[in-house]
Amino acid sequence: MNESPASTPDGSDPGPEALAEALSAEHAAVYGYEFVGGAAGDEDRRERALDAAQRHKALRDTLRAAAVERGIDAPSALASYPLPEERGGGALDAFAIGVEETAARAYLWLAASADTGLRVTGARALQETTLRGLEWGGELDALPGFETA
Amino acid sequence: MGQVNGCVISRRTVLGAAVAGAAVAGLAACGEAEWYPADVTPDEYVLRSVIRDKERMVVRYEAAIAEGSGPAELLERLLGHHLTHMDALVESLPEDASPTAPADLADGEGDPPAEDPASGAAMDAAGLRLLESAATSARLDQAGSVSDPGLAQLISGIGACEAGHAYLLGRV
Repeated sequence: MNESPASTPDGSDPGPEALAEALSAEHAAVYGYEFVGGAAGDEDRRERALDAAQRHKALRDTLRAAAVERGIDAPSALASYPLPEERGGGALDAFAIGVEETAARAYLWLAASADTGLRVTGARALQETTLRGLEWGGELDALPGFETA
Repeated sequence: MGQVNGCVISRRTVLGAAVAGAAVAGLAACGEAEWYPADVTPDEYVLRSVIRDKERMVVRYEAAIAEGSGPAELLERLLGHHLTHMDALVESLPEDASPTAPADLADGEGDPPAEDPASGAAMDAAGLRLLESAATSARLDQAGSVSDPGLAQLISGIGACEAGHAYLLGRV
């Protein structure tokens, strides 16, 4: 059975842990999109990737500020993240879709926060990441961020 | 891609959080002002509001498909999503709740007047897109207003899907 992140095992607010998870996802997304922006062979993909990187940077900064404001430890970016081996358009698109799916799961978790501000941030970011996934050619699930049971 | 630690969530697990479970806390936290019938919790009020939104959306899509006022394949797919949402929302109702809203709830403050789906022409893609966009915005407030975290996640997921609908309809 899949683990439910709607609350932690002791029933406490998942907000702090989910916020940290979302911030980690944003660090990876910024890294990933900057890679795509440099690796893509066509201008359309490069521009789309760099635009996405900027949007993820803004989200990253928002989450970091929220963590500081709430006294939550904000995870730092890692030195590197897994990248696709292939550099073709299809591979880069699939990689970008994966980045957004990871972010979607993190934001869905954040949407369970007892902190209304974090919850709405999570809900809004879930909408945004869903749209970016579509922009990269992803399919739209009935409930983005959820694993199908 | 792999799972994010502690972040995997199944729809069925989320919906296991009974809205009724929050009822006690909700009632305990209630102040003097009663904006809804006393036997309906705030969460159930919001849930039923979302269900009504969905019912109207389904009617709109069915009319559009019947009239051929938009790309059939896309509209059928989006309608399928809305029906999935409806199932999940109804499943989230408290076990002892009536499947239909109490009369007081149907005419609650702030509720839009009931639409007669047969009164107007079927919406085209642009019209449906506006409906989806409006729903997307509403879901943020609704997700923020419920106390049950599973319900908040469900509403958030629905809002994200509706945002996707608006995007796809905008490309028609």
